[in-house]
Amino acid sequence: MKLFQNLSIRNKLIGIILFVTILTLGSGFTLVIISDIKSFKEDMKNHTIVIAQVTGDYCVSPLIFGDNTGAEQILAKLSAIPSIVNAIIYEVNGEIFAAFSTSEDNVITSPIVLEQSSEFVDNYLNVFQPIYYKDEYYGTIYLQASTELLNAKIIDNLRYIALLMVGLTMISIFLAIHLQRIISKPILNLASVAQNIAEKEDYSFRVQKEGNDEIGLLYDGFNNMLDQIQNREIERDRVEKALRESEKKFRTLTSNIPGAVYRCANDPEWTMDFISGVIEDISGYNESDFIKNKVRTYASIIHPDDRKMVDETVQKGISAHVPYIIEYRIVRSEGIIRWVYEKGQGIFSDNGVLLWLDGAIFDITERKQVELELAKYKEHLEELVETRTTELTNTNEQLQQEIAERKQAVEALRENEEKFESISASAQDAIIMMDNNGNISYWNEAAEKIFGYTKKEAIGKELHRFLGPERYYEAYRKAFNKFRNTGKGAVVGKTLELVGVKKDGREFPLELSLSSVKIRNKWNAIGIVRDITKRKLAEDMLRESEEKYRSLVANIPTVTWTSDSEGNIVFISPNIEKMCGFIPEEIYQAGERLWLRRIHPDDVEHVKEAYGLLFARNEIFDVEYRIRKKDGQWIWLHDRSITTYEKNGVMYADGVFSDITERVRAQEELKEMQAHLVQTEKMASLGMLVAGVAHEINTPVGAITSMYDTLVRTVEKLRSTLDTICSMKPKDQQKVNKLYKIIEDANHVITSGTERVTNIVRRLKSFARLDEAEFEKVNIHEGIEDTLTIVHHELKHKAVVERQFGNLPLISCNPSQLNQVYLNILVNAVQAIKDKGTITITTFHKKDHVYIQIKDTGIGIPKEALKKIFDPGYTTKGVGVGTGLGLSICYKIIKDHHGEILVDSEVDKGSTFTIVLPLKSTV
Amino acid sequence: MSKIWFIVLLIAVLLQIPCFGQESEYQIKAIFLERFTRFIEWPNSSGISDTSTSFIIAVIGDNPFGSILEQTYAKQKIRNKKVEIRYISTPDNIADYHILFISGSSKSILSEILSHTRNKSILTVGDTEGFAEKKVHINFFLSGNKVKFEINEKAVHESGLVMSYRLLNLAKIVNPVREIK
Repeated sequence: MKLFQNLSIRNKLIGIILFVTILTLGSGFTLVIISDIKSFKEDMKNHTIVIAQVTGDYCVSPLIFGDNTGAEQILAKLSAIPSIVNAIIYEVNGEIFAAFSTSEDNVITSPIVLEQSSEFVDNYLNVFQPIYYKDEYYGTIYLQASTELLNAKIIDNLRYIALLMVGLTMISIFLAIHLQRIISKPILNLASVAQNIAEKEDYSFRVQKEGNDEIGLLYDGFNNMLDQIQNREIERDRVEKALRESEKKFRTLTSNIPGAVYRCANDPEWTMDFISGVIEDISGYNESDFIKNKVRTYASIIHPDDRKMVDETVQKGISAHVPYIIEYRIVRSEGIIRWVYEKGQGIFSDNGVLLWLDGAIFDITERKQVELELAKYKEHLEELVETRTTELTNTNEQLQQEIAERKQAVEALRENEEKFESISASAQDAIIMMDNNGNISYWNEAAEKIFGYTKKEAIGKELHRFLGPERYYEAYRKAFNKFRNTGKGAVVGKTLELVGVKKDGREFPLELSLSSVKIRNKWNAIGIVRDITKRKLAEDMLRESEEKYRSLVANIPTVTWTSDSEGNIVFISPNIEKMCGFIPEEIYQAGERLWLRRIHPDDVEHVKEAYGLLFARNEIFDVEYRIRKKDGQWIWLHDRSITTYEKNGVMYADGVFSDITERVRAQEELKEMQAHLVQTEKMASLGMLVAGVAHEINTPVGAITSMYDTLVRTVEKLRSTLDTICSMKPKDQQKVNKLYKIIEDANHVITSGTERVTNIVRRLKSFARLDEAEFEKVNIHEGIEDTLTIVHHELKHKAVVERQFGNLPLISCNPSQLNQVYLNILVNAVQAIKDKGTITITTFHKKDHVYIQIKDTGIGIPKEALKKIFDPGYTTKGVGVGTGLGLSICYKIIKDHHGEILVDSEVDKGSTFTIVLPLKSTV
Repeated sequence: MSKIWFIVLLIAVLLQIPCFGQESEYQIKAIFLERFTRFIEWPNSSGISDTSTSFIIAVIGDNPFGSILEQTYAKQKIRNKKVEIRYISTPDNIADYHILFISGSSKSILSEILSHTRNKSILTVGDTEGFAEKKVHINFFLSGNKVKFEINEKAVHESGLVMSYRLLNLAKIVNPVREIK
């Protein structure tokens, strides 16, 4: 059946017609054949019966008259009938009266039947016909006819019919092939048109109906369908256009909303289908980044800690079919965290399927900050109110008193503890306590820093084994044993230098101040340990420098000279060339001009004077001055001449000078280092002091802050109590409100004041961070701010500070040292400004360096002085007032950082100091 | 003596018993008389349909049959009528017979006999040569051992008797009605 189904319509129709034709023809012809055969047989039977009857009739009289011969003669006539092979007349008694036979052989006879019968038996028809005359039975005639002819006739008939069948089938095939077109053509036409339309997508085509039958209906239907499709196409185009217009409108409208309007999918990425441009203002990323997660997902900018909460809130809203409101943090493109407020809702299809989420996002960072502060305050206030009210409801005064008393005692104790803690915490030196068993019983923060062990690690360990080198252990142990019983020892009450071992095994020099204390009748030792690695290093460097200086002095080459009283050099030793670059000839030719002119302007007068004195009063000429080499470099010379003599009427002097540039430099370095050392020491103690002070201040400030909260709380309570207790007349209410306002304002002042104090303290501590890990990654701006705080009181009346801070990465440096530098420059800047001025601090980052510029509008620095300002000892403040070391120390510090410090200045306009620091520390 | 008697008796018996083959000549002729009646139609005026009256067979002249006629038709009916046998010697006595057998002895008075039968529906039968030409309806003759008969068709036709073709077919026809070419 499937095979048939897949044939073409043409073949199907032909097939059907053929099938029907063959079936009907076949069955028809079969029936015809059957009926023909039947009728042929009938005919034969009837025919034979008639013959029998007639013949029998003719034989009546022969039968009656017994005329066998006559009867036989009559039967013989039957030979004319070809099919009759046998004829017999039977008498009444069944005996043969007469017979006739066409063949010699006796053909099979059928059993004798004396009544009428006709039967086809084998290839013969046997007919028995009784002979009656005048209703009297005289005998039976038997005829046997061969069916040969009959069969031949039947076969002929069959052949004819078969031929007819084939012929008709041919005709029907032919007709079918041609006539099936009537049905198939319009259908095929329709099919090809439909395919055409589908391929070309041209829905304007229509089919031509040819008849009014069902195919015509199909055609009509098809055309209708095309009409509809075309209309829909037109409609769709129209709708699309309208949609695009609407989208455009929507986009322009949403761009004006301060929030970012969005439509997104409910997936983990919050894939954006649309989000307005405002998101760039909020997040720093362009909206096209988010659409379809092109560059990044929206989820990626949500703060990791808030992602879960956001998801949960949204899902809750979706499942309850209500809008969701969330406040969460996002991370902007440059890394800053911003708070956003988002309101949105799930949009559902008609059968309740979630299609997408629509909403808007607003930046609420400022508000949030205020909220958070307020919340913190509120929380704190709430807590306080709680405690306060529980206390107030407790009317047991004695208990209160007791508690208050005990509290006081505890407070006092805690204060002392805190004092101690703050002192010990802020101390730069390690405070270590050793109990009577030789184990560490106290270990402060500085100890942690110096030795590297945390409190946990250190407490309980045997001190000498833990902190001292192996080789000294025995000696320490011995000393300790003596100590524990007596409290006395060689080092007790003294300060000495020892060697300690850090956690990482490094040995380092330390200074130990040891004292003993009896606690509960047992001797304990308290040691204050200072890491003097740096100092030792500095001392070593100093020694080195001194050594260098000494060796330098010993190895200086000398040049001998002879010149007259005018100053003309008449002889100079050839090693002048090595020293200054000139050959003696040059100097002879040039005369005094060359030499004198090349002496440093600051020194030339003094040299001239001394030289004059040599000739005038024979005073020893011993000067040190600067001179310019042939290549322009400046060198220091130590020039000496003891005596003058006469020769040929002219006074001459002999002398020697040597290049002492190195020595001078070394001297200067030495001075600097000493100053630096002093400075460092100063700063160290200053730091300690500052830290101590900071802590001292913190305590009362803390008390103030907490008491302030109590105050605010109580006022509130008062307010609400007042409101509930009595209802006032509006006039009174106004008065009271005024009072409230006053309280509020006062509160604000208090708050801001305490904040400022806290800030200052923090900056102080930060500024004083000395000896904290030599080099660490620091934010430059913080250091600058800290320093500004320190000098704020100096600045505030004279200068306005302008900050132009760029985007600086963290720098590896010694922050406290850099703070020193800023401090120095800022103080100088302030001092340079006469009445009022501006200090501009600019920072920027270029290539591998960081630039810090401090510009002031002061009196400026004269060109000649610019070269000297970094020299140690150079000061414009007069002897005794300024040490002249400030800038030289700055210079040294910056050099230590592998940076540069540059200055640019114009008299009466101002000065600009530029600090350049490398990003990569090559430490 | 007894042997001779036996042979004489035998011959006598043989001569007496009518049979086809075994029957004697006049037994056959006697039987044929009835047989003829099956193919002939007498007019109603002859009373042929009246079963109460008899069918009369008359013999004129010598009686060749002897008692054969009586023996044959003692019980057998002709046309459902009882059969009466009459013997006459003169034609004047010819009444309304159905069959008149004219023996050879009456040869000389044949025409006279026939003039008397002419107006009546009497079937005339003879067994003398030439009788059929002389307008006797049916005339027996012997052919070989077989008894055959000839019929004067015209004479039958003129008599008013209707004779079936079947009988005619069987007989030698003298004076056919239609000449067959």
